[in-house]
Amino acid sequence: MPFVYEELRRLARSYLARERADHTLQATALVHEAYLRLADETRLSWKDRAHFYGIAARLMRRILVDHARAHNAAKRGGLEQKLSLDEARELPTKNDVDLVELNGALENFSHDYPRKGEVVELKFFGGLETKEISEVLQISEKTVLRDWNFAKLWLCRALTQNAA
Amino acid sequence: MQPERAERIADIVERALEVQVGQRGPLLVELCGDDQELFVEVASLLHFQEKARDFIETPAVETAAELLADERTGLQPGDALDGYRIISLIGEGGMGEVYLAEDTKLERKVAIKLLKLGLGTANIIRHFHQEERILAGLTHPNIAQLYGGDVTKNGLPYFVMEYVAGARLDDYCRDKQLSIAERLGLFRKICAAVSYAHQHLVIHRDIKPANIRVTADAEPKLLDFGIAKLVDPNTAAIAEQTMTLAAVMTPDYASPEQVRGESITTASDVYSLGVLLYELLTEQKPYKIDSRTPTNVSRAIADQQPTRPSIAVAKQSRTDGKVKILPKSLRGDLDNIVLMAMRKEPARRYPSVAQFSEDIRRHLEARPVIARKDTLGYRTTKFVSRNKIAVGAAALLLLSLISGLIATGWEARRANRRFNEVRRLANSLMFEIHDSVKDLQGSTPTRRLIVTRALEYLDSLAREAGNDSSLQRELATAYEKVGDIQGNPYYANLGDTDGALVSYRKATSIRERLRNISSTIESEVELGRSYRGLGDISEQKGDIGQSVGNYRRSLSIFEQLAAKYPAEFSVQDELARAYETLGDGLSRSGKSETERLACYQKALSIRQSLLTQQPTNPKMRRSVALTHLKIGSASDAKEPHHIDNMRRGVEMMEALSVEDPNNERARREVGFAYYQIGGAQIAAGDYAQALQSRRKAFAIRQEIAEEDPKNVQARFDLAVAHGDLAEALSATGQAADALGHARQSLSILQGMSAGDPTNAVYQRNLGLCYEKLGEAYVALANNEKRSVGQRISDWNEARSWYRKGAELFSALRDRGTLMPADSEEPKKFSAKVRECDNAIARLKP
Repeated sequence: MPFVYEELRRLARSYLARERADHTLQATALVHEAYLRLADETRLSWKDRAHFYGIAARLMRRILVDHARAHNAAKRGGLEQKLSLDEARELPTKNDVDLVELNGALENFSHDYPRKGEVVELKFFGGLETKEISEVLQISEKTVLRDWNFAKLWLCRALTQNAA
Repeated sequence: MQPERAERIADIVERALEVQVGQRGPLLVELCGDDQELFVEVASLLHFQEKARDFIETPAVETAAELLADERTGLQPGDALDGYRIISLIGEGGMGEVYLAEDTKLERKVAIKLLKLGLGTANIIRHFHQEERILAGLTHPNIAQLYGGDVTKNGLPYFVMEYVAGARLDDYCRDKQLSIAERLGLFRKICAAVSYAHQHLVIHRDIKPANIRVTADAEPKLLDFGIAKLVDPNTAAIAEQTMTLAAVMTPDYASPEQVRGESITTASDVYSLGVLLYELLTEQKPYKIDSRTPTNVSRAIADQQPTRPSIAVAKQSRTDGKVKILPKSLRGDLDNIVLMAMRKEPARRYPSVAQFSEDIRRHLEARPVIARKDTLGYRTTKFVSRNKIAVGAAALLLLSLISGLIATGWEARRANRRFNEVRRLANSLMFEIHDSVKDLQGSTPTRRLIVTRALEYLDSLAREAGNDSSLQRELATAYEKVGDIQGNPYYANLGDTDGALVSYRKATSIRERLRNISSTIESEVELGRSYRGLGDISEQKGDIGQSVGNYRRSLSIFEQLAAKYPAEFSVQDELARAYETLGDGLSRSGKSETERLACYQKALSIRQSLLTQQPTNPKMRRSVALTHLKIGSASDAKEPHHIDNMRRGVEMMEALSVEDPNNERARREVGFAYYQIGGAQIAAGDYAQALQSRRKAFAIRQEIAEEDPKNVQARFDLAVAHGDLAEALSATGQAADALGHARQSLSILQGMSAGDPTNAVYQRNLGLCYEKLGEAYVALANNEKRSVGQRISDWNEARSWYRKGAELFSALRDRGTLMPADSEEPKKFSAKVRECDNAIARLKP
């Protein structure tokens, strides 16, 4: 899937470059937009589109995790060794998730809970809404929510145990 | 863990989450029973409820955005980078950061563009090297020169570019209060740079004021070919990215096709230059958008018509009272030029940047410009006819772009873009482009190239298509379309019958294979049509046996289908057509007259029953009428139903034409029907009826020819009708009238053939006209009331026309342009010459 990968990657960065000064809210909107454009709504049937959303979320996951991995590597010793204390303090706190760790935990989780794992992928990495996820996975919205709530507990516990 | 176990855990946790915290204890005890381990697991998970409340609720991309925003690539003033010393950070963009640096060896200032690390590094580096090689080759006074590029020790790719100290183009124009002519002058230099890049197959894709700097000596320089991609078919990997969708870095300047995610061509740069010019002339943005989110901007680009520059300027000066640019100076030419460049449809913009620039020059020199106010009635064809060469060139450029698609990345495309790809090729390339050039003189090489490229493309796609049956079907359709253009006699084709056969065979073999997997009405109909096309082309090639064979295969498919779906109108319609086509094919084989008649009769009976279902369907009525005529022509002239069928056909045709008097085709067909029945009546010896029919045919054709004197076909038809009428008049002894019509026929044909002396059809009809003249003189000579001397002179006249005819047909035979149907003509004419000799001998005392 190198093509879609490239495309999403580029969109993510162009968004990041463009919107940095303003609000970050549009990140999700932009990913949606990318999906819509890539999927070319008028030509693909719903089945294809759902399939596409799934692929795109998986790719988004790869992009973001790759990025985080490179970023972590840089922090650990490479380029950013000059990182000052000031900058260190600026590291995000409100959403303090290490994507690389989360990715690992999600892999384990999906082993036991494949569908729930997909829900996480679509929602967290793909930025899809509950309704969209229910259409992609062909399950009820209620099930999506139940899956999501369970997954959050499971993953949160896994990351906390990792940290300990 | 056992799946059942995992499910059980999840189920209990989910149920527990749905009740109040206080009620959970008893619920867990009840649900877990004695299973201590289960209880611990569930409780441990529920323990995280509070902590997990906001956990991962914000989508990752937003978190990543914040992370990236804090990211520094790490070059600091004073850092040494290979042979360069960093002076300062001067800019940041989507691709990376730009530093001012000093080349320590050459002691000159350079700009270094450092690409950000972290995402698919290997890919970026490969891409980077390709890009660097291409861009270093661009040398133009208005393009910031790329000196080279490399990768830092830390693996960061960077470009070293000419450092351009200067103001942004828009700031420069505003601050210096440049006149319109000065702005246009600067703009044309930018056009020259872009045009130069296009000639080197590089599309900029990101033309905007921020990417254009004006130096102290007023030279504009185009920066940042960073996202420009190569259009060279040999480096398809990059060309592929040129075709990528969306990802509009700066939506304000993105073209509608970029926003829509369609292919990006040089026309996209024309558009962006149009926006740039708009802003230079008006100091405003072209679209009025409430909130400048990417979605809104994109929507405006795709749908909104930009305000005319002169109106935008007039509004602005009313609002702020300042008069910077006079609306009057923009009204007319400049409005039209800007808006032409900014048209939504790429094909209706200037075909090249050079032409865009040229039009501005015409305006500056006060000469008429090409750009016209866009109107609803505007038609692309007009545009094409005015820009023949350019359109051809644009088509070629697009072709090279498309050929870049071949051979790489099929896997990715197949999964995601197959519909777009195949349709873009089949529809856009084969039809829009092909059709736009097909009527142009000398476009044949371009059309051949289009076909060649299309086939390369399709063959590659076919190799990769695997078992994907919907893609296979699209491929088959595309092969058929290519085949039609190559050599289907019912299309404006390239005369490449062999190629057309190969394409059609590929299509039928794909469809046959698909048939084994699954078959639907649609796919069966497509297969049947595909064989019919194969038959049409075989026939064109002169292989009547193959042609009839394919028609039979087509018929058998439709027969099976019709048996399965007896109530399906469209299937029955196809079946009738299949019978008719086989009948036509048999007529050319010259054998199986009985079978041929039977085919037509089957077709007729199916069509008649369809007509009872849809009695007012004009297409069906026409089909029934034509089938009647065909039965008539296939029957033995002595059979009574021969003429009856024809008469029925003529009546139906006439009724259709009466109901729809403006339908020229219907009228022409009535003429044709009368012409046919006239021939049949003469063959049956019913000259009086034949004369009537031919008078009718003549009247219709005369009317049509008079309505449109420039219509060559109509004039030719009229000449033939004069001759046919003369024939019937001679046969009924009205020699004087016959002679008059034959002479008129002669004069029209002589005129036409003088204008096109090598046209074998005109020559042949001249010969047939000599025959009519001969017949008219024979009719005169047969009038026994005339004196012997007169009659001998008539016979001599007749003899001289027959003589001329014999010579003409012999000459055609010697030149190798005698049509097979006319092979007996030289002999026939010689025989008539001898008849005249005999008659003269008898009359002479």
